[in-house]
Amino acid sequence: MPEPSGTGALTFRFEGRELTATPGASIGAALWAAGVRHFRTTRTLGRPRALYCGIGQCFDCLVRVGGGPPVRACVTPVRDGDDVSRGDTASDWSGSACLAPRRDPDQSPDVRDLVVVGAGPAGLSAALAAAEAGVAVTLLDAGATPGGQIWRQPAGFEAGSAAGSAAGPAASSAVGSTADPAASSVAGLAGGKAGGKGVGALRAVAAHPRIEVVTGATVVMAMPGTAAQGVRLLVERPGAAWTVEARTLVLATGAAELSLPFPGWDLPGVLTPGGAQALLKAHGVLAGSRILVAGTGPFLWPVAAGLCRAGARVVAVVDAATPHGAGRRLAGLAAHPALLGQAAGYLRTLAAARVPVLGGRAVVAARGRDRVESVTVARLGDRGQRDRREYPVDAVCAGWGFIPSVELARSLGCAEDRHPTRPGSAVAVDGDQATSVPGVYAAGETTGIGGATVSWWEGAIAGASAARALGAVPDAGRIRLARRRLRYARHAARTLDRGFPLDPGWPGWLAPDTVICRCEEVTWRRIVDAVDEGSTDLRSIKGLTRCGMGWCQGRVCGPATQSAVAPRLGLPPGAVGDLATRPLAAPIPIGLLAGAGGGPDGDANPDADAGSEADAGPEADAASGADADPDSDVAPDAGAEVVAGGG
Amino acid sequence: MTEDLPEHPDFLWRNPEPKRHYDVVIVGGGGHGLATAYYLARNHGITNVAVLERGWLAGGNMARNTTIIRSNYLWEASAGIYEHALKLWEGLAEDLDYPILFSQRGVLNLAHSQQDVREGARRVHANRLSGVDAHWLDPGQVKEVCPIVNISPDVRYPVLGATYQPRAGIAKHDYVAWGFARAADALGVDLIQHCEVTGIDVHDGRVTGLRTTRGPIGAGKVALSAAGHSSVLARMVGLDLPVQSHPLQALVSELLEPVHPTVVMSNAVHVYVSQAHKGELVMGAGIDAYNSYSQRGALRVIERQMSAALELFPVFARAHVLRTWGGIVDVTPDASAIVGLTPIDGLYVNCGWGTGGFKATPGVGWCYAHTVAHDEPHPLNAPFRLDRFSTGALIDEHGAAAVAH
Repeated sequence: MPEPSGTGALTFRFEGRELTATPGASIGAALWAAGVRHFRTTRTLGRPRALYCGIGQCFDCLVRVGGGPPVRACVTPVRDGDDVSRGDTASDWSGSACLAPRRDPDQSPDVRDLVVVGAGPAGLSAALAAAEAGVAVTLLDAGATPGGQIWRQPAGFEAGSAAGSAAGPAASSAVGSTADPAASSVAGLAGGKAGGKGVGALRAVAAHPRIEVVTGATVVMAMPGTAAQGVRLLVERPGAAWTVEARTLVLATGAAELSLPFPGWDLPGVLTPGGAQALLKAHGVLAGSRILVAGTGPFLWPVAAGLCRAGARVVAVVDAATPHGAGRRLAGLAAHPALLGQAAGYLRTLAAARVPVLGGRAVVAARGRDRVESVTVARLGDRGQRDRREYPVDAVCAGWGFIPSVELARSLGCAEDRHPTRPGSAVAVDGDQATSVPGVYAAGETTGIGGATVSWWEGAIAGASAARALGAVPDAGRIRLARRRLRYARHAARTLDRGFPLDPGWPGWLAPDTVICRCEEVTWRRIVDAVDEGSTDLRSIKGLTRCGMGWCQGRVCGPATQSAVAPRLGLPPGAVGDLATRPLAAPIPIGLLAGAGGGPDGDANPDADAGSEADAGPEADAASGADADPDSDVAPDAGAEVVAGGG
Repeated sequence: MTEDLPEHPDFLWRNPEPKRHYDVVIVGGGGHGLATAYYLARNHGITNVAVLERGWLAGGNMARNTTIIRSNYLWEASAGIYEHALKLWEGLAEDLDYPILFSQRGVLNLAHSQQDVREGARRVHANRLSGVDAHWLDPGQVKEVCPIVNISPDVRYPVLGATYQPRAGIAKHDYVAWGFARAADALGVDLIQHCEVTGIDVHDGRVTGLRTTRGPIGAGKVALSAAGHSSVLARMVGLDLPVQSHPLQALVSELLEPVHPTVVMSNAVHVYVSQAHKGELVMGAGIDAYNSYSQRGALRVIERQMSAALELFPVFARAHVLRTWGGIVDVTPDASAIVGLTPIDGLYVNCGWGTGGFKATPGVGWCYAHTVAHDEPHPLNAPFRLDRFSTGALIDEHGAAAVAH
């Protein structure tokens, strides 16, 4: 469905200027395609901001539609005739409406046997495994389409109708079957084929009669349920919020990219690799025409290769890991020929495009007036920065691997494991993917970064465990297969994790005026001051500086701040605390928190009223999900990227 | 436009190793503990003092309250100590040489029924007799003070009037804690974080020291100031405090243009709202009915209160809540605090402040320091003695706050 920008079928306005967009495009993608790099102006420093994370995590791309409250351009679809303006300064109050509360908070909750949060590889696999065992599954995902970050599908993608008419053979055989759809996906993945796109899994899930898929739905809060065992979830989608009670829960919430600040990283045009990937995969929009890809980890290669194939000039791939060190640490990958083959494919693509791949170096500064115009790359080492070199660019994709997204698990009180060297933590699970909280299972990146293959098999075990807890009898043979595959895949994941360590000396490239917290514009100088003033942990630093107190609540700056201040406090990263530990996993309008159902702009949102009934939100979506679009079930090439260990 | 926050001073406090012995050890590094340490040093010259905190300074209720400051309580005893606190608040920034951002923007307490109106008028009269500035406003006057309040008669909780204390307001809670901590530290008080008390040593009916996760610490006097956990500490020496702890939730929104010029409380709705200095709305909800030390509460409590709050403030509907949190309110049978001596010599207790703890901070610090220094209560906290629950001389402040307790 998405086409290269410029063949727009709908028109909208931004700051009075008329622009075109393809149907299904996000506001962010449409603005980016039109060359707009100034989505909002920051309050304190008056700087322009645009897309950064690209996947709804950072809240840097806030705009207003029709003068309404701020929305994230990256996850808000553009509609014909939208009047979009910059999400500048503090919010105002124009156009507010009085809402009559319509939901009784004490009414009996809508109870589901199994809710799976996250429809990436782990969540899809968990849903299939449980559904095959006979359990009714509700699969929630914040994205516009299922697939998560790694199996992201083009905007408007429909995996198929429940009747299976537009879906593939695996899916159509699923109706009334107890074995086929998951089995065929599993078989495909095991051979390293179906994992390529995840389309087989998406089709199987879409066609399964016992799986209800609810997209565009963010779980903003998780709390103990009313029953002895079980969990209550507050779910939001624009204009609607409802609660669901789950007898069992599988958390497959994935991971977020680790961002490390550097001077100029808040300039428009600096994105995360995942943000650039999302623009390309979902909307067919290139992040820039001259792009530098930097950071560390195996995810940089498919991103760079994808950008090359889509026609961008990638000026270099810069990885902080030295070739010698990485080569030594990655020797264990010899046991994973499929993975090496994949890597070789990316390198061939990069070599064909004459993209230099530089190791042991990092982006140490970005420059530009209102958007990034050049970056400085330097060799890192004990003797400071050497071999500094300037690259003219119009986009930079910088990411340092991934951090498990643990907010929901944390608010439920699940035990966590700290990574020995990186910031952040992972949900602790046993061999059945059970967390420390009864009835709550976790799978995929949220339990530690392992990539799509690990996620898939962990999901299968988590789904089977949840099914068993509900009294169903999952297929023992498939669990054995999953465990075997998992051992193999985890070996690769562990090897990759060790291959791309985070250099604890990275804060050396920070300048005193480098912004660390993008939301509140807290500089490195203020954080260092807070440490010198007597702070002994992250929370004191937060209180003194407001670092982590803005829209994203420290999801972007928290891990980097943790990593940067730990040595100054003389502590390992895990001992300085976390910035974001509060119950809300995402901001929610007060009107929705109040159970008011539709928002003030409810008239523009056909789902708004339906969401006020506790169970109407999911059903409304299930209905719309039945409208399969036969033209959109084939993913374009850009959707083909996958790398184990890349998340 | 919203204000930029002032820069704080360059140095806040030392992080010393605990000494083997102190004249006074205060257990609890929240606002009350820090204020007590400061006034012990400043008013009484007692500086061989440690404040022990099991987490980080001011990380409990001090970091979790909604910062409302007022003194319009019903009974003379309450009005006395809260009004003493309010007078101290008025000079506190200068006294501590620290910008605590005390903003006397007034507090409205809304009446939604004829019974509320009569009760409010009674409070206004009582407050005036106690020397507290108090006014009764009709709905039109409420609208003048706070234009965004919906005074339409056609809502579930119509506004029929309000009590109004113009000298009341809000302060920046972190800065208050740091101001006291820095000033206490400068006078020689040791602030010891990450130090949990695991036992209290008593010999011949007199306290001699504490056992902690950082080793034993000798103490001439021990002043408990640990809010709801005071009862856990008191239990270590066989003392049962009549305190129950409940979760109480609050939330904060994105930054918004200035729209809400005062503080509005509503007892019937169980909600209280102000707009903080940077522009975020700070809203408090009611307590969860069950007892708990977990710093979170049930979603339905927030849902219910926000839905009622939106009738009063329809403009808030589209403001995003960025975070919610819970604190612990420690409540006694008469909803008034316990501040004073205990049956054990040299052991003092200060707890049970319910939702009044923040606003009382300088006042209770002043009086509790006096109590510890002289081994007898200050006249202002004398009515808040522990044995009132056996003598019957209660100070019934139920219904004094927007939170029913």
